[in-house]
Amino acid sequence: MLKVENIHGAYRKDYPIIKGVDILLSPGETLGITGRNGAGKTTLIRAVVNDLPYRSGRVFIDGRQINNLSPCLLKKFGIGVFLQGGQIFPHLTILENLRMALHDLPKNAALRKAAKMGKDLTFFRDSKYNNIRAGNLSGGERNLLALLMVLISEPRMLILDEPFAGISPANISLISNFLQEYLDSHHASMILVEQNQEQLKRLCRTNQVLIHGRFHPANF
Amino acid sequence: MPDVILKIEGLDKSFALSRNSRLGIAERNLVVNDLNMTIEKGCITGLIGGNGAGKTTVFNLINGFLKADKGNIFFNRNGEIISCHSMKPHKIARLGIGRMFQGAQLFEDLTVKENLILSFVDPVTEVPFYNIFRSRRYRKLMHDADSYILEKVCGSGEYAALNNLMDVKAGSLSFAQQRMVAFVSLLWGKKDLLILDEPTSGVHETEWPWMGEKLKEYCHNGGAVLLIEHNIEFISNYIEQCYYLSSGKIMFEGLTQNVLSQPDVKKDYLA
Repeated sequence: MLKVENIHGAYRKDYPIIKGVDILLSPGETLGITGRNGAGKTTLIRAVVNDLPYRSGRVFIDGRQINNLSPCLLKKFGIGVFLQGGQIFPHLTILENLRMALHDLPKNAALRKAAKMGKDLTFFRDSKYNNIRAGNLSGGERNLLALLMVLISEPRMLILDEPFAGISPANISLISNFLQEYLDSHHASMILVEQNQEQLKRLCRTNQVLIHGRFHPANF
Repeated sequence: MPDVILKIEGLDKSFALSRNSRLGIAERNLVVNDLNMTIEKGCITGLIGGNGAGKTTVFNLINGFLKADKGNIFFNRNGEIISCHSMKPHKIARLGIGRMFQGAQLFEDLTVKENLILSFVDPVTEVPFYNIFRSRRYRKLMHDADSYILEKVCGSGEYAALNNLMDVKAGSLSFAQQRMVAFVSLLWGKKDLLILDEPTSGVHETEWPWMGEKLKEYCHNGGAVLLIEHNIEFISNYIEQCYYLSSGKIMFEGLTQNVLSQPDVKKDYLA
C-alpha cells in the first residue's frame, strides 16, 4: 500500500509547484493523473520518488517511511518508476538493457528472464532484438524498451509518467492490454500520468486532474 | 515544379545493425528504402507509420544529420532548385527548412524570451564582430524582435500559452511548455518549410486546435509543413495529404481520409 501525505514540491524555493497532494493506493488500485501543460504532473511524480531539489511531505510503502530514500533504492521496495521520456542505455543491446533491469538476479537467471520477455515481444521490428543497440532504436521503440525495463523486474507498484508518448496507435493498444494483464496477474497498483484520456479511462479506477498543484476529481 | 517545395527521389539509407559489424561482418539494416515524396507549398503533409518504420530517419536525411546512401533531395527556394545532398545541417537550416525534434531543443539557461529572440536572428549576426561591437543593425534587430514579442505575446491573446512565461528560464519549464516554445520559435523563424516530429506529443489536448490553426495560417501565408504524428484526432482534423511509411517504404499516399481507411493501415497502424 502506498500512502503519500501532504506532499509539496518545487524546483526553486520561492516558487512552489505541488501544493499539498495526498495519495492513498491499496494493492490492485489504479490512479490516473492528468492536467494541462505545466500543471505539475511530472513534478508530482518526481516529488513522490524523491528526485526534486525542494520537497516536503511523507511517503509510506506498507507502513514504512521511504520519503528520504534515494530514488535508486525504490526498486528494492517493489516500486517501478518510468520517468518522462524513458531512460535506457543507448550503447547496450536490447537484451543487455533488459538484463540491466534485473541486475539483482544472478546472471543466468536474468538472461533467461530477459530472453523470455524478448521472445514474447512483438513490439520490435524483427526477432534479432538481442543484437540491436538500443541507441539505434527509434524514439517510440526506446520508450517501449524503457517501459519493459520497468515491468521486467515485476514491481508491485508502478509509477508511470507518460509511457504512451511517441507510440503508434496499434502499439498503444498492445501495451495497454499488456499493462492490464500485468496489473491483474500481479495484483499490482499503478499511478499513471497520461494525456490520453481514453487510456486513463480504460486503465485507471480513479482519475484526478492536477490544477495549480492540487488534485481535483476528473469528470470523464 | 512551381508549387512543389521539397522533392525526395529514390532515397536509400541503411544502418549497421549490430556491434559485430565493426569486426567486418556486414550486417546492415535498410531503414529507408527507395523513398519518393513531394511536399507542396501551402499544404500540411503528414508522415505516419508504426514505431521503427523510419519516420525520424527520413527527417534526419532531410535536414542533413544523416547522409543518404542513394537518391537525392531537392529544395525549391523561390524558384531556384537546390540539391540538399551532402549539405551540412546548418546550411540546410539557412536554406529555409526548420525542424522540431522529438525532444525539446532549447537553450536551457536562457529565458523563454531570449530563446524566442534567437528565432529572429539572421545568419549575418552570427559573425562574432556583430556581437562585440553591437552594430546599429544588430541593435535594430534586437529592438524589433523585442517589440514583436511584446506585441504578439503580451498584447494579444494569440499566444496565451506563453503568457507569464517570458522571463522564466527555458530549462525550468515542463516538457510540454518547452515544446510549445520550440513550436512558436519555429513559426516565427521565417522558414519556408517546417518539419515537425510529433508536435502534439506530451501536449495537452486543449492546445491541439490552437497548434493546428497556427499551422494552417502558416501554410496559408505561403509556407509548407511536413509532420510526423501519432495523434489520430490531430491527423484527421488538420492534415490534408498523408504518406504511410512501413519498414522504410511508402505504402500508401494521398488524401488523409483515404490513407487512414486502407485496410492495411487499419490493421497494422490503427488496430
